[in-house]
Amino acid sequence: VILQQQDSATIRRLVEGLPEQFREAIVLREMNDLSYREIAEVAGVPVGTVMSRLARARSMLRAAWNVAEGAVR
Amino acid sequence: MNCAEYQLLLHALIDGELDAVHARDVEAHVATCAGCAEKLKTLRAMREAMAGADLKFAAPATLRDRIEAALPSPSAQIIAPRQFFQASRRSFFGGLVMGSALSAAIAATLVVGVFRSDQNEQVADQVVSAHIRSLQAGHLMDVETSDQHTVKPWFDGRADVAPPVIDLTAQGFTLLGGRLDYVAGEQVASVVYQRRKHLINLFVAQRLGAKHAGALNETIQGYNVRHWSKEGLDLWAVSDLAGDELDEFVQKISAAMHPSGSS
Repeated sequence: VILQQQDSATIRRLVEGLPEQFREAIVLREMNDLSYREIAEVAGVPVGTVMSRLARARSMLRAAWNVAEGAVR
Repeated sequence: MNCAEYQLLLHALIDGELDAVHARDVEAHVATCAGCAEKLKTLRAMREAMAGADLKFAAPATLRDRIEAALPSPSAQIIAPRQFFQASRRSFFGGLVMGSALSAAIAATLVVGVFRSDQNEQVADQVVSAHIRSLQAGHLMDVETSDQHTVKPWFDGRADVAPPVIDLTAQGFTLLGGRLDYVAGEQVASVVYQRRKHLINLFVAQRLGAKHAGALNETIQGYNVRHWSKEGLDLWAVSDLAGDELDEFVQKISAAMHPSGSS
């Protein structure tokens, strides 16, 4: 459960590996610090969709993260 | 609600998107549900790890276009015919995607628009490039500290103006730092403040090339610009902050610049 520390390059690679709409949501949220409403405007989808995309993005990221940790160990 | 529903709301919780009632509800559930508590812990750990990562190259290529489409377009009305801006548009949004705040991007667009309305092409050119620079990751501030006693001396010997650097943290405007810029061949000091997630750029110059006399109080495409002169300085405040809050900012800066007088 405790995430192994990953370097920036790895995290970046993991994020880049996400399908576009999920990558977009996560980048706007984590990097640009946009609100759900702002992300919704940029992506042209309802706010509820933003929340579910973020949830999906983070869950995919988490899975990829685990794989990356496995590779390191 | 079941755990699946709560787990979706965990995202809204860590993103600060829940109102107090729902936040309390979710937190109460997490307190009694080991599975959801674990999930929340993981989300927070990921968030922390990502905050430390440099994701500037991770943005999808088409994201730039989407952002461009979603942004208000004062530029289109005011500067679109100008080729230089067309050319710099790519790098402009490149800078945005490379990690600068959306509000800063819009603030920059706006300042461009304001200068443009002076019909002073040279100033506009300079402002565009100055702001493109400021949007590059790490270029929003040259000196980054909330300590006014660090920022102010930093400008001494660098800027030919002594901008007012006032700590308004107690009044809800956090001093983030300062930056030097050149606009129309003249040095401009920029003092960067933040209110909540909104950045405020306070540009200070002796006097810019433009004959921009008189106060300006405008809302352009939903973003606010204030220009005024005080103590022999030209000041511009630009932000996506609400108009009345930006007015409050201007008032506080003015009052602090000249404590005995009214603004």
